[in-house]
Amino acid sequence: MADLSPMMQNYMAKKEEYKDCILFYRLGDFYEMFFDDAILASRELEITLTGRACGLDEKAPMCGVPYHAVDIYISKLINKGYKVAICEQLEDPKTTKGMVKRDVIRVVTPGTVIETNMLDEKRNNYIMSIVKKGLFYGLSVCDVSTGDFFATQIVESNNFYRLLDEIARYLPAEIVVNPMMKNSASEISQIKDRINPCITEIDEERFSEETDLIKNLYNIEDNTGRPFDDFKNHLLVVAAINGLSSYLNETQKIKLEHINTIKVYETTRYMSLDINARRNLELTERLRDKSKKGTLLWVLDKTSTSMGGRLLRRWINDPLIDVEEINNRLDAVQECKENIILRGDLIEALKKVYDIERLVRKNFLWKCKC
Amino acid sequence: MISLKTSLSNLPELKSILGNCNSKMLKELYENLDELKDVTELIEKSIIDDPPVTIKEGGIIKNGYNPEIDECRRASIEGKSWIINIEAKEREATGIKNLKVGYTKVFGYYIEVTKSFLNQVPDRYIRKQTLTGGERYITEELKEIEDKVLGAEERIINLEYDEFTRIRNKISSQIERIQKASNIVATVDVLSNFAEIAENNGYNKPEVNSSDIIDIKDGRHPVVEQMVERGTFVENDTYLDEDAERLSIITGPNMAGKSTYMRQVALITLMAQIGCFVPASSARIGVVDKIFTRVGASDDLSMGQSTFMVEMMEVALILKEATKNSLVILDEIGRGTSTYDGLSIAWAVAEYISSKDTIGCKTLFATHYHELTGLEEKLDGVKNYQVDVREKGEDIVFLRKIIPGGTDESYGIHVAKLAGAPKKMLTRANEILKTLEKKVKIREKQEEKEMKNQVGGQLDMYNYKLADIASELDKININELTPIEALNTLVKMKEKLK
Repeated sequence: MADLSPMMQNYMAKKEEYKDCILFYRLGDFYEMFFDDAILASRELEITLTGRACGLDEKAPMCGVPYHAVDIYISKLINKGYKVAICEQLEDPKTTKGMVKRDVIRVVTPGTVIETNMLDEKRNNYIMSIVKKGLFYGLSVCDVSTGDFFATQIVESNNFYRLLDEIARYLPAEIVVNPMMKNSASEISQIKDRINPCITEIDEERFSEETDLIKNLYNIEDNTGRPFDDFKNHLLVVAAINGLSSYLNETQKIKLEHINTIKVYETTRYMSLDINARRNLELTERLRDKSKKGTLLWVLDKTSTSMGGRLLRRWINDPLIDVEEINNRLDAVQECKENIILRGDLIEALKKVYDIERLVRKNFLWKCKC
Repeated sequence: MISLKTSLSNLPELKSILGNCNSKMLKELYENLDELKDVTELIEKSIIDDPPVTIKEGGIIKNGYNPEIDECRRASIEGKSWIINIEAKEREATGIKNLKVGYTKVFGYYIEVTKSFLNQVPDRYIRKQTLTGGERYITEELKEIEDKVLGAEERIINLEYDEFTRIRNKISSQIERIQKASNIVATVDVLSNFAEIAENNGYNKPEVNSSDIIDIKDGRHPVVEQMVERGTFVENDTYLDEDAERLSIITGPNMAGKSTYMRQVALITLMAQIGCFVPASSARIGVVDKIFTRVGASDDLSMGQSTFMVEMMEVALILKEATKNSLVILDEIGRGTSTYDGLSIAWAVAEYISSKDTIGCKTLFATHYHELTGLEEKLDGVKNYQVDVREKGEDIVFLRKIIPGGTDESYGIHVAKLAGAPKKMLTRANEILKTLEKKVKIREKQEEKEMKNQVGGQLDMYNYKLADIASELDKININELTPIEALNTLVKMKEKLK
């Protein structure tokens, strides 16, 4: 290390911190990658591999992408299942003497992508945490792009099946698990067989059962929107939330203002549909080519807004079993159907509404554009 | 942020539309919808309508919102007009007619004089830059004004940035309200969407209750009906309850529409339970707690031998998890193994699932084992259905209508013909079938007494082979068969006969 140039020393130090990520290191108008990252990225992104003098005898392998097109390259890597750590220049080079300070401002993972161009606008992009303790599971799931956050636990018999059911409900792009879950090889392989998400293991102590921190960070509600306080009987819920919250904190680096409410629900609220049924009935994906065309969602989706599109997908995935709740919806639909003027006006007004959820996130997180 | 404003500014309109609604859910949405007028007004007052892409170059904040910014802007504009004045003033003072005042990022403001007038340049001009065509100068006065103008511009940018950040933080603090409103927008969107779809596709309101009955009149498959010509989809009734008609055994040839029919029942039930109208002239749906499907293994065929294992794992799961309030769809259970294994398994599964001691849930069971139609007489709650097929001479027509009763015709050879199998092979298959049927009939008569509650009979090896081939034929999904595969299948069949 001693022979490396100061910049490369800084690079190596950052890389050490983010070993499991490809490190995008900002140098002027480019994000550069070095050494093994460079070799890997040049192959995956089909960009030229060059070298850069780094103080050692041999040049360091290097490749880079221009900063203004970085989203495209990041999305390519994410889609291939890699994680990308973005290391920015934190000072203005014009006003700094010597080397500018650089640090990782964000880690992009399949479950925490927020760039709108990487996301399907009518679909949630979920990250899930699963904590396994003994025979039971706690799980929480969040869409970083919209701020939705849910949590539940599975403490009844035949629970792995129930867990698969919940996974099928959300189809998370990434799952964060505790060591016990990760070590349950057959369960992990069954999950991978079904949806093949990116699975990340994090330390047991991050799935803490302490409630103080999360109570501070979030409003925790039950199904009906009332404050949830039965933490004593939901320690697995608490652990799952803590795990996911700490992972989000580690990767996103800033306080995610728009993630402020967590809904704790009971898995028995919804009709149980195992993943085979979801697939066979072609609810949101065709069996043959995974496309949306030819599915129930395709027939039912004439929604006017992206938010509506995402909610519709969720409703199709979560049929209710409470008769009153179902009939409330049906009565509302009936009113809209029978009152043509009302329906026309509503649709007209809705068409003018953009994706508020993701706009809000875009405006108040990393990038702020008008 | 402007998109946010545009979006939010529609909330009051949306709210007023909802104001006249009568249904409980829409009323509640109306009451809970926050119009967020304060947020919209804040953005409207402060941010210009067509802002630049970056926030670090100014030009974001509206005039009249922040007095300090306004003041600086005035200074900057004044400074610029001073500079224009300087051009006129200096031309007059020096007599250089084409004297110009210009600006570059590197040098700032300058006075440019072309070569031919260089001799008229006064001493107070300070030379800054030499060009091929002339010289650039600055003066004390120009420098002074430049400082003011550029200083003001920089200050504006900083002030605007600070102001923008303040506005953003203000909105940020309202983020929960915005998210709540956006949830309501989404809900209204989905509900009105359901209404629109119901209107366009001719759906009707299902009656959803906590009974144990599923009663669908003239049901259609929501997706398939969109794929075929309008009005050509064949409607079907369905009746299932937890007593006399728990388990429907559906027999009939492949391709006749068994799978479509069963999925249609599951989809209509699911649609009703998400609050959507359904493709049927009427429907009464007793809420189900779980839906299971076990559908033929055609999509797993590439996995070879493990197919049967997968099938059985799924069946095992269903038997373990289903409750009496569940809806189960079973399509061709036991296909992945030898005929008699398969039949025995299918038979036992039907018994297990229909018995109130074990599960007793609503089940649709499609099978090509016509032996299973015998269950209607033996078990409680079982009814036979079949897909209506017309024979026209040697050909068959699938009517896709589900009617009561069982059938023992599987029309496998007809289907093979439809698929374009060679005539010679078809004739041979027909011959084999006839002998097979004769033999089985004789045997069945002989063994009728012994059989009673047991299944099937025994066949010698040759017949077993034939039955195997028949079942092979039955299994073939013509849609997925390439000509070469078809040929290979034939070769395999011939080999088996040897």
